[in-house]
Amino acid sequence: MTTRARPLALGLLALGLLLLAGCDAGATERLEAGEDGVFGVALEEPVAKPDVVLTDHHGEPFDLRAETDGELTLAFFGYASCPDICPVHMANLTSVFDRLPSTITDRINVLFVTTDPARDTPEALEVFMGSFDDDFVGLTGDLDDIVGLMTDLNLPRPVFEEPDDDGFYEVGHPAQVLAFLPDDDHAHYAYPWGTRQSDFTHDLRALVDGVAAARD
Amino acid sequence: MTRLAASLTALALLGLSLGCAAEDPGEASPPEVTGAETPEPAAPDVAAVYATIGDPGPQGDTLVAARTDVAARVELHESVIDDDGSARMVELEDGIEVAAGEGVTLERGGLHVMLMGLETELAEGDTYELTLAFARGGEVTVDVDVVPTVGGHGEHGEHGEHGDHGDHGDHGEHGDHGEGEGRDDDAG
Repeated sequence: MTTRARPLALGLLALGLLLLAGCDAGATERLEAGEDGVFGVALEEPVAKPDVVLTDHHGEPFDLRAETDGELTLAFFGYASCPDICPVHMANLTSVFDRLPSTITDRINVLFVTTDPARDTPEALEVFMGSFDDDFVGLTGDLDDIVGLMTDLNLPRPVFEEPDDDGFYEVGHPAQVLAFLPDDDHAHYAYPWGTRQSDFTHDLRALVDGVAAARD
Repeated sequence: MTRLAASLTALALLGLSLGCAAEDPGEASPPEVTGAETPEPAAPDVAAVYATIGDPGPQGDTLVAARTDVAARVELHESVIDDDGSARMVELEDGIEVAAGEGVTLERGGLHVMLMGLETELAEGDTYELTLAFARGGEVTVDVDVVPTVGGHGEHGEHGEHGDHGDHGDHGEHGDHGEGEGRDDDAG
């Protein structure tokens, strides 16, 4: 994979979104649709889907490119022991899926990639994913592979906090959801924390057939 | 009455009045806590508590600690998103300020009480007790509703607000709490 990391651009994007949100991470994000009619925040430069094999929450190998080839794919990076942002993101997406017909959701992949593979074994992820839509896929693997995947996607690396006396630790993780389009299997849009369910629902309908169809 | 006796009486009255001042409910009652809820945890070891803490009065107050029998440890946290787009939680060791005239809302993606080392499985429909300690107002114990993981009214639905908290009525506690049922916010 030859794509150069552009952490600065994503950092500026995140900063801008933070300012828009009035520095209140709990605020409901009111995204404006771009010229292409899509609410997601367009990445400055689309990023190719990395070539990596992870392990899904059933313990089966998951070849990212092969499993999601030519399909709208949402990816979020978090960890199961995160009580706030991670489960709320996944709950939001589950509610969005509940509002869409299966003719659409069957053609969309939602991936929860752990930033904490030491604790998030396939078994732990199976428990976590059990709270959300049955078709969502939890992914774990070698930390190096996951960090490499995040770096390829210009995402901030996981930040591991010092364990407390009980051995519990928290992990900093990207707040946004990335959307890979079916047209070219590149990530084109980011959905910041707080994206409204109606905006997600609109975009998934629009993007399931690709960005070209969304522009029509 | 001798001068000495008069002085002692004055001192005693002073002491009484100071004692009364310290117990004056207007000075030392905790703010009202409503809508306390925990989404059914997706992971077995951690959970978050959200709630609305009402106006603490003109002097303001600070939520300094919380405790519950259902978790080994309880911390006050805030989820923040750094400039690079990384989300993380910060432990608020100085507590959570409850602004005079306003109060504060603990909500998804923001301020919350975090339970670690869950010792009781929390399932939708359960209720458990949480004691909140305020620097000025003292302690209050509230009932926390365990609400569905998915479809809770704190999700980012069409209305996206945290109003419309129902009232369970008198549970004999200081804090009323909201209905735990989900709300379909979005016509899609």
